[in-house]
Amino acid sequence: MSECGVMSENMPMLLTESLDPAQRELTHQHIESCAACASEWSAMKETWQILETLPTVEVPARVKQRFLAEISAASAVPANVVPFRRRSAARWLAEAAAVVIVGGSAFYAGHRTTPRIDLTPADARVTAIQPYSIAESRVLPAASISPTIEGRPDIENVQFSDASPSNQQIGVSFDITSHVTVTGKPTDKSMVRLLRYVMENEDKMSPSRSRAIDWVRATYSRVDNPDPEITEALANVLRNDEHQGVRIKAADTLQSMQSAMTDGTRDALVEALKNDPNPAVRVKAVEALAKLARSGAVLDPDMVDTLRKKAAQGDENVYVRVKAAEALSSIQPR
Amino acid sequence: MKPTIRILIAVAALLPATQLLATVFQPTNRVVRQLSIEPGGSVWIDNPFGSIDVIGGEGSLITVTADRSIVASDAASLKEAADAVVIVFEGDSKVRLIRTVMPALRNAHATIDYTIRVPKNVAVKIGSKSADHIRVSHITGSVTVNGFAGTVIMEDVSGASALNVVNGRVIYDYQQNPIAKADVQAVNADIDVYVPASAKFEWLADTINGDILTTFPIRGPRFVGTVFRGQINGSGGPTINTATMMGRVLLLAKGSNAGQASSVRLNPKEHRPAPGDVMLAPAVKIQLPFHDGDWPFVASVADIAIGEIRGNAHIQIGAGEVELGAVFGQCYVTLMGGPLNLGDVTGLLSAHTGAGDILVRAARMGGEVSTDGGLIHVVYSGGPITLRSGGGDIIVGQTSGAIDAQTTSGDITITGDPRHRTLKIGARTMQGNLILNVSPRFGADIDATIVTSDPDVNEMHIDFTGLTVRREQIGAKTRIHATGKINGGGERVELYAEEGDIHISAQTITPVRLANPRR
Amino acid sequence: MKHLSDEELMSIVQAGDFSPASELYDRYSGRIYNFAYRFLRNSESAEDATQEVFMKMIKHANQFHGDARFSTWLLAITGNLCRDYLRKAENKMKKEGEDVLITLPAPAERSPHRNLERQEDKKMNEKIIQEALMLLPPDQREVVLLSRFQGLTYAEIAQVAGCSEAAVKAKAFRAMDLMKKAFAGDSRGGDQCLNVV
Repeated sequence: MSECGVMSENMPMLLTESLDPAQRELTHQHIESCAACASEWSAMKETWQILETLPTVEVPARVKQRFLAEISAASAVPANVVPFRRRSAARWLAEAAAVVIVGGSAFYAGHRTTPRIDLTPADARVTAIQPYSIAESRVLPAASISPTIEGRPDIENVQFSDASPSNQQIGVSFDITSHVTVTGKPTDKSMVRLLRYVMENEDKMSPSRSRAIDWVRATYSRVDNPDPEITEALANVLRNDEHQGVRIKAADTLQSMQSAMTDGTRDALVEALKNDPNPAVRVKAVEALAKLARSGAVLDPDMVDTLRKKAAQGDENVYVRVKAAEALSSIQPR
Repeated sequence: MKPTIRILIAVAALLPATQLLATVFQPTNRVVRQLSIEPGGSVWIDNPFGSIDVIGGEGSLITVTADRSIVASDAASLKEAADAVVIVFEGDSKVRLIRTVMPALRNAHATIDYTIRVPKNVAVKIGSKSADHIRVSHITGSVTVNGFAGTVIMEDVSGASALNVVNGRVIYDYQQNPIAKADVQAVNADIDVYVPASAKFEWLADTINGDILTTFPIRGPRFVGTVFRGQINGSGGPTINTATMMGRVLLLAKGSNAGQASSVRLNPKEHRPAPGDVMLAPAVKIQLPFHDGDWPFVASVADIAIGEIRGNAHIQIGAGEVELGAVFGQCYVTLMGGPLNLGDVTGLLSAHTGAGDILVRAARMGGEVSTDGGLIHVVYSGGPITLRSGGGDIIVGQTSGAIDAQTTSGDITITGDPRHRTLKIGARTMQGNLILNVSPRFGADIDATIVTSDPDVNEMHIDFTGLTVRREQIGAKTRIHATGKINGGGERVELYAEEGDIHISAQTITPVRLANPRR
Repeated sequence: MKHLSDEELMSIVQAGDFSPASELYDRYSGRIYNFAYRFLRNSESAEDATQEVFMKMIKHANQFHGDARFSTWLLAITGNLCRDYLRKAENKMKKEGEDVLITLPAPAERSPHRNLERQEDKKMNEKIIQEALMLLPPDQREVVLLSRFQGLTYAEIAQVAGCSEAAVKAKAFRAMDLMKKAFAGDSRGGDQCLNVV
């Protein structure tokens, strides 16, 4: 097989990024130096992209009905019963949260003995296990918690609830503090949401918020098409944070994430330009708007108006005025 | 618009699109209308795209000629545009409104060029977004023009005028001596005014970035900030105000030409601007690989990028960006607004900006760096240095001289040069964290204070032993105060943070190596 | 039920309770059906296959050990089932090898449609690719569907398709090559860079 042949074979893997770094490098280098392979690569990429346009077909509803009907019939025959497996303790690290443990594994005991199974999709029933979601308080059944308590978690504010006559359940509630690490890709929605939460909420998180913004900037400037929720979160920080240093950072980071800007984030920049008391924030806001204007984006009349006013405002910092004028000179009215 | 206007008719469609051509160009459609107008009435024209000519004359009627042209990418869009873009005539004989209705068009662009003849005593009001030109001539009534882009020409307009444009150009040609005030405001446009040589008026001119030139002799020129005020041929005439931000202003006496005009600005070298006073040489953009010798420079708006200044630098700028690779001498830079990016400064540094970030790679002899709002980042300081920010983080990569850093809001991070056993440090932030990184054998007398409204969140993290930490409640806030000597004591290190943490961490720090400065 | 992971739901099924079946169906029926539909090119067969896949999911729940992703496991079931269907089915459109190209319109006719700014050209290209996909031999089609639309790695595809990773790689290449040719024409003259394995 010729070298071009090998490289061609690698191309589909290049599309799905399944090559190891060395191979990937080699392949890219070959593509760059071989005209024939370069055009082949470009055609493949195009094909791959177009494939994505294949429309998704909707599943006909009758399939589900038939399926569920078949299950009902099938469950008349006792299914294989397999003992419930223990969850690993690692899943149950909780944030500062109040946890109530409900005793008794009523759910499992009940169903193991009952052959008749009800298939209505009622989520209210199953609360036996909860996946990890970052929440302020949580209720967990004892059966779903590993009996092993790992490490020496800080448990405070312990309270008890007595057995109720109807179901013999008792409860223990407490506050537990532990450290959570969430890993994932910058594009994972959970990651985006978590960063958004850290950036937007709780005044007392200000020092973390500052660091969070630095980090967001470093990470998301490397991501193509960052999630607009990140810029929305930054816009909220710009609007609401009382710490000037933090607002400066937020404006600066927004400037570097032009591709993910939404109308909401642009409005936040205009607001900051109009009203923020810190001149550095106004500078960064007007620089971001100037960059937007230069890139050919259409600026709405409110923005144009703000820029006009700023340019003419005698008591505004000269640099801000000059940048506003610069932004205006790039605007083509439409 | 006057609230009492009765809107009579809202109709008038242009000729329907006729041919659907293979090429997608629509030949112009023309509309001609005559409207009555009372003496001293007003004519209002609102046309987003297209030129406007208003010509005053004798007679008592308004004659409107409108030429519409549409460019579209295909026949369907053409038809759509032709149906959608119309002229509307509203108002009555006191106030006539001529309005182009131009909804957003897909794949098409339409312009309407107007030629409107009016009695010369009417008041004219024009609104436009983009026009090749807007010309008003031979009008004795008042004229108002509000445009965004295009050339605005006033020809023989003797009534009071107010012009406001953003981009483009303004030409004001007086054929008689001006008798009414004129107010021209522009952002990026140049303003040219032609006046009879015998005219008497007061001239105000204002530009940040451009020059102010005239062929008139100026008596008693005065600058207040950026605004120039001069009396032409004596006092008592109307005021002509020509204000543009980034353009230039030219006032020519009829019979002279632009080449003979001279600038009203003072000799920049003699002028020492006071804060708020920015009327120096017109805008500059300077890019040099190096400059031998000292470099004094003064400008109102300038972007500077110089590789090396082999001497002292003394730079004063109103607004702009300054980037200096290296200064082999003292460096004095002050901006009213704009970012500073300085490389290796061998002599004493004094850098200030009214708004913007300051980045300094090396201030070998220290100095002072301040911004009224922005981030300060000094990678290396070799001498005592004072850092002040009105709001923003301060970061010092490594210092071997004393530091005095203060910010109104932001984090302060300082790393001490490990080759110095002790350093004098003062750092204060009103809203933010303080982080001090020093080598494990760093010795100092520490006085660190945190004032916080949430003591559970803000804490001291000190890697050294030997400090006494006290907490006390002061009103709603908690004050955490740590004092003592570390490693036997040394210079005084005073740290103060509000609503933030203080970290003093012992780390092995690799000392920054500076290249020998080339001479 | 919606808060539980696939693995957790499967645990419940393994414990003898079939109530999660509905939720699992809701989560995966779209993917399974679309794969079956594209693979079998017949909506009735796709419906039958989908139903059978989910029944197998319940019946053979104990074979899911949590060492692979649940989706991979489900797709493996789907792949096996669909391949069986195809073998047995009446509508055989099996073609082996490169002669697939003969049934597609010559690329030269389509060269004017290179202006991707225009909606019509885009639609045209999409149609061409989709047709080409349908006309691929089933094993290559399977690889494209799993790789492009189900996001499986080559290792996972090997598991699902029941062949080696090297075979997956070869099939992927041939499939892409064919579709690309159908759409863009063969940009290289001669055999020098055409790989024949």
